[in-house]
Amino acid sequence: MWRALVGDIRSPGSSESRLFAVAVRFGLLAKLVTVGLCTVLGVVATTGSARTAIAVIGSSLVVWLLLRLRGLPDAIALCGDVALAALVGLSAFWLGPPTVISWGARVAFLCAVVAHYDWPRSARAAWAVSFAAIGGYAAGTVAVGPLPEALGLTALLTIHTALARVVFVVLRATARAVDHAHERIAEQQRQAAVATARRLAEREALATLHDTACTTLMMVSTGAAQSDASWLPARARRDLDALRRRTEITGVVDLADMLHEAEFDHRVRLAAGISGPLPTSARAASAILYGVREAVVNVAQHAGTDVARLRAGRTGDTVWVELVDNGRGFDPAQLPARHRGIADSIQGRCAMAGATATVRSAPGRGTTIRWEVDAAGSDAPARPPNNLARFIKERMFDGYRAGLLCVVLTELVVACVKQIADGGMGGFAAWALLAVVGAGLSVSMVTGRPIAGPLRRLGLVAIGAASVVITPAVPDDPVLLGTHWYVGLVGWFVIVLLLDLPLPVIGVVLAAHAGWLMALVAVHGGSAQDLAAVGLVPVGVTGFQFAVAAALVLIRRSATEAAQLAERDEAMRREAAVAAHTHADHTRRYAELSREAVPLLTGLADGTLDPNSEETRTRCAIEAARMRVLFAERDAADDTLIHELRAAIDVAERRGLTVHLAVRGKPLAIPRDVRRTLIQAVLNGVLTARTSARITVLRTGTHVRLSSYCDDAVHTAGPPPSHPDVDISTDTEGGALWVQATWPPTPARPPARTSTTAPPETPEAPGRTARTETAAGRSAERSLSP
Amino acid sequence: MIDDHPAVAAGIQAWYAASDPPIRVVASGSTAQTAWLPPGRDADVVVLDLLLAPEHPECYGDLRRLADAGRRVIVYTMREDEQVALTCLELGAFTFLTKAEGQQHLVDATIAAAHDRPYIAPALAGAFAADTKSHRPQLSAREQEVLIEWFQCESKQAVARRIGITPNTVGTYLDRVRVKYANVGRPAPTKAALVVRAIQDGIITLEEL
Repeated sequence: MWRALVGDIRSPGSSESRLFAVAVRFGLLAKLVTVGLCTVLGVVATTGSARTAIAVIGSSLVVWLLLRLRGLPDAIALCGDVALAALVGLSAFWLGPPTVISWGARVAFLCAVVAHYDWPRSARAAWAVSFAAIGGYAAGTVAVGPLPEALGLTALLTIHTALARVVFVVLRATARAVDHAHERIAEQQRQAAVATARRLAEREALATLHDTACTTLMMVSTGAAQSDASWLPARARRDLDALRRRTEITGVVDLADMLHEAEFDHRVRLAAGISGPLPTSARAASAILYGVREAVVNVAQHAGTDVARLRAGRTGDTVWVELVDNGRGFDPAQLPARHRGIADSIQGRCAMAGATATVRSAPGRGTTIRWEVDAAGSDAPARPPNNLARFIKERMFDGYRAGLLCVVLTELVVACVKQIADGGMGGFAAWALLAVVGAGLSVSMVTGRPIAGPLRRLGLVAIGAASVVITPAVPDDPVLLGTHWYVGLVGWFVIVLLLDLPLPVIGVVLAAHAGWLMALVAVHGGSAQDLAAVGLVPVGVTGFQFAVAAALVLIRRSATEAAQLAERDEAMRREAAVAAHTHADHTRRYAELSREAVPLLTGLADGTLDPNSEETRTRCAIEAARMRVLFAERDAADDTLIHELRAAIDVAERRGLTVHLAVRGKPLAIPRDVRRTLIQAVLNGVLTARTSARITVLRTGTHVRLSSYCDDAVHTAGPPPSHPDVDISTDTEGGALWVQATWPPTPARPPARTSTTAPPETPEAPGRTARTETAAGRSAERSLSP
Repeated sequence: MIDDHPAVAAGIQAWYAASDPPIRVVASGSTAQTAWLPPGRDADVVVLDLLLAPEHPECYGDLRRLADAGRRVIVYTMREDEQVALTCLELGAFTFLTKAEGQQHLVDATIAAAHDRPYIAPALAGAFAADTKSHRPQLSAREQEVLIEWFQCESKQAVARRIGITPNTVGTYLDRVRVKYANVGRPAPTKAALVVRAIQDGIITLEEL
């Protein structure tokens, strides 16, 4: 608390700096207007040297404030503020005792109190100005007036200054809390946005991979290029482009153009009927185009026909594309999960891009796939409701009202002390009424229940009643009236009660109160001078209160704008974070592809690899299977290892291999990179087989061992994958190829058993002929015969 | 021979007829009755198709009763998982074969059973290797290794080459494992016969058990 009251402050957040900006501007303006009016009234109300002093000091203060509004260096502004505050305080020397005219008291009060809003960034500067005003005032009044009264007035000024500081600290704490809360929310939103974007980009990338490289490599591996390989280089180049491109798609494109320019599977003759232009979001167009491409490949591979019809057009705000074939059709409900072309590329990707894809097919009845998306321009996405502005408004409003309530309650206590000194039943009754309203406001604040409707009217009636009840007790002497507790207190009550209403309503009520005070003096038949002196009271007190209310209302009203600004800043930060992450992901994915897929496709594109050589086909199969495992990783499966392994085996079976899979033991939680390595290791073995292979998975409670064994390997596969936690060993003997992969690595075997437990050995085979390669190099050596 | 599928029965009969030495099928039927009534009552070996389905709740019971009566039962089934295999052996089955393992293993297992000799086919080796039960017999590191590799490659020659021992030694390790399994858990006459024979053959010593 002490630090908050006197210490300098850190760099402010957005709500906080907005509070500061408004505080400085309204502090200066309130001071300027109030001092100006008070000075005019003071000059009217006085004569002689007092009038001269008021005119000189008042006008120099006004000029100074105008200068400050135009902007001055901090050091000069502070020196001037301190000097003028001291001068205002010392004005009592020329004005006489404070009871004669209240100009000095009013203006000193303004200087001391408003300093804390003038200097929001530096508590020291604020206190320097305040103490100059208070000190000057104390010196002036003590010098010219009766001592007890001078001390009382100085104490009152000090209390008000301290109160102003407390209110400022509460306001600042509120703004900071709002900033913190906002930052927290924004941080969570940013993380969520990054996670979502990464997931979407990952899906997009995998779908692209499936449609491009994986399909091409599968085709090469199954010998699709045997009769005619002319289509292959162009397709491989297109795939390479697709893999290199970042999946970051924005803007509007003409889908009709894209469909015209697109290359589809050469095996299908497409009868196209496309009526453009078809403006769609680039994202949706890209999703649909990829989907059509994949669907045409499906026609070539599964439909048993080489003719299809592609139509596209626009109906109202909907752009649609339709691919129809009269092939053998299928039952969409019976599609095996491993054949994921339809599921992912066509429908899943469309859903991501805001389009829909529907597949209608039945055995023997052909297949119709229809894509639909809103035409660009008609699909302005509705912005999600911006809760931030409301959040800031509510939080700040509560905080400000709490600050003002502090003022009210403190003033209430001060009033009680004064009332006891004054005596009089009317005063006590009015105080009691206001105390009840104050209690009501406090309860509302603590319980968080707003005061509105009948309750608010009841409060206003109670304040009005207090004003009526106290009338006989209110002094008609302007000087005494100016220092009566009732005058300042009622205004604060009105503001706290009405703070969430429009500013004019607050202004009217405060003005009515000021008019009431003027009327009280007027009915007692005061002179023009008296009226001017009385005018100082509503101008000095109520005017200041109105300025405070105006500042708070302004801050509240600008919350929406501030929230939008904050949201825009945040959106930029979010985009930057998303871009950074997705770019890193893309780089990582491309690096993975660069190991095998990219060299393979490059070789197929420039003709340096023979697509019909056994080695190329095997490499293609291995890489396609690796990709299949990536796709399978996204499925929810009970036994992830086996699910992913089956996806890889599927590729081998499509090449015509017979694969026997035997699994023993219960599923084990295995990290994803380890699963990839294990599967990749045995896959390298299986895909080199000529006719058949055996894959086994053996899981004990702690270890998992994958093995592939074939006795008719065509040739050795490429280098096995490596992973620090996976032991991979490869044995070749004659035509047999045996790959074992174990996770985690088994510790080095204990030395051979003692002869008593050894079984009767038959003579050793003469020397080992097996060639053994080990990967990952960890404890992979096997103990030889005992 | 107990199998409810006539084609399977006919196939096995042909395999047996072609084997050396030939094996004679004395009786064949679709329920365990076949093994209890003549002429099946006098068969040396019972080949039992284990149909673990809701409509055959009695399967394990059949196996237990036959084993308790000292009959040498080879469980020959479509089932792959190791729990079924281990349960069958625990009940006293002589050995466990999956139908995918085919002719040679069935013929060899039948001949081994007729002589009370152990037989472990790769599917059963995998079940032993994956066994993590607390009352599992204590296997040496080499025995465990042989089990695993026999399961993985189905070739004793390949296992032998890889470890650097002879194929016969591989067989010996497997037999030792089988005998150790026969020596734990619920006692059955078939298990006792297996152990006695193994000691006579010198595969294992009393101290090792």
